[in-house]
Amino acid sequence: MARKQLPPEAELLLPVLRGAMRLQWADQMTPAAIELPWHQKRIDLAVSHSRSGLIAIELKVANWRQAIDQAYVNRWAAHCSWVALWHECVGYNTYGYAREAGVGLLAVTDNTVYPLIRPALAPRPPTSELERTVADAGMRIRDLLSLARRRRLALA
Amino acid sequence: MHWLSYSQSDQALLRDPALESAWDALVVPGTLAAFYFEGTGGFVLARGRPYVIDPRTPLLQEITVSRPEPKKSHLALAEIHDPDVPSFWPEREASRDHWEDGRWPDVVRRVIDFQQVYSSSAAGKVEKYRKLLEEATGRSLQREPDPPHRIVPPYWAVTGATDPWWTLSSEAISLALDTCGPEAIQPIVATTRETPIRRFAELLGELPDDCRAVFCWRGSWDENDADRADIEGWAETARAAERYAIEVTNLYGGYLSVLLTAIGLKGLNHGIGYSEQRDVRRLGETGAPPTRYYMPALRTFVSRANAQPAMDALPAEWLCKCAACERVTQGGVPIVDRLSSENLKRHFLICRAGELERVATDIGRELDDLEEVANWLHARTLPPVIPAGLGARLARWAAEIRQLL
Repeated sequence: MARKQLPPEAELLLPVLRGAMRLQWADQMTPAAIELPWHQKRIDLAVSHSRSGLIAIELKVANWRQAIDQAYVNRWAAHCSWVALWHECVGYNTYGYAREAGVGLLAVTDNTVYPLIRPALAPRPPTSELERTVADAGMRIRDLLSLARRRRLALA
Repeated sequence: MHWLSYSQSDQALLRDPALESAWDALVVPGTLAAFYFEGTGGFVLARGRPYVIDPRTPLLQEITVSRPEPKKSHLALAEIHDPDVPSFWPEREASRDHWEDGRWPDVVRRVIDFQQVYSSSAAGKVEKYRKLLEEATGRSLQREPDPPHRIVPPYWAVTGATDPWWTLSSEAISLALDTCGPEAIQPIVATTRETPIRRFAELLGELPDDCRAVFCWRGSWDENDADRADIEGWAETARAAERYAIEVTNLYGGYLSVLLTAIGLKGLNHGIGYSEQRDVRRLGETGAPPTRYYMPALRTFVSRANAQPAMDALPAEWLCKCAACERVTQGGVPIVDRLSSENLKRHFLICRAGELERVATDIGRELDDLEEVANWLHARTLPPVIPAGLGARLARWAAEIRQLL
């Protein structure tokens, strides 16, 4: 049987942004950034929520262990850290590994996300510097939604 | 002796009176000494600390990897070696034949001469740097600039005593000895990345009898990958050094080299937070990497992003209490995000000086501590931010060094 093709990673952004709004982490005007530089790494998606603070999300289609490892480090950069994985790639072991890492787990479908595990609290209050960087960058969820839609069209 | 590779960006740290006892001497890259002639000279000569100028001759050695576009400083260094080279290099590599066509003694003389006259010729900005030093330390140092601690003859990366490149290096050492005298030179014995460490022991035996001190540099030797043969190779080198009454300093080393001082290595050199290894073929690739945090308990660097999670996973008593970390400590834990690049380096230098002191005063206790850390790492599932295999590495180092004591 032919192996089922997984979506490219760029495809995850749109459902994750839609999901973030559905889960009320953000509205159209919420400051957000993609590929946010933090020391020598980059956070795939950062959303600056007015109440919850900075939410970091690592997007990955398949390599869940690596994604959770990255999201684990993000716990020290953000108020909460999630990993968004393509729903077909979330297995039994993913749950345990994410829970142990204190990382929230989102299952991504074509149109939205479903929270499977809630993240642990940040080990220590993150510095406000990253939140400022997100705000200063001037991007909002609506800008990222447009970008993600364009990407999806380009990939189609 | 604890040497530091000089870098312009570290000038403020190298003037810091609080770090006065954290280092002994400077290895000044020939590229900086040649191209930023008065700036580097001003700092180094005003600083009043022992220094050597590394001619970095392997920068001009034929390489099989792709060579980056040479910087102006590389061309300046090439010109000091041989004024003919910049006219064709790097479009064409300077093959061994080029150096063997009778010009080598002149090359050696030029490189030696550059170092011998450095303290008088590069002194144009000494006053400016003296004032800066005075502001930083509150002490004035009004004396004639010192010449280099020792002269470093030009050298090549070699595979052993039968390598024709060694013939050239060896000739340079003999010429330098004749010109400067036995106490005044400190050659760099550099070997290629494929050459076993123990080859240094053989090469020490090939040096002229009058040679009293050398730097050894095994290209790309990464201590983290050191195996038993590597450590035994250094032990063999230390034994040969004792036999021939030569002081051996590892030109690029880290914590393992600190441990090796317990078995006869005279000292080590590194950059402040970088350059604990160097590929002889890639001297053209310059610039320090992003600053990392040195984890003193783990005897390793981790990236800034990984440092906080790594610290939070360790027992509180293993966290750093140096002056730089104390200033950013919250609830007993240093907050790495609040450490500036300069303080990250300051912290590292304090830690490294502490390691050297501990090894010098009580190596047994240092090895006990290393084993305790290794056992702790072995006994638990570690977060991904702690390098895999670290416990095994520390345990191996402790066991090997203990056996050699």
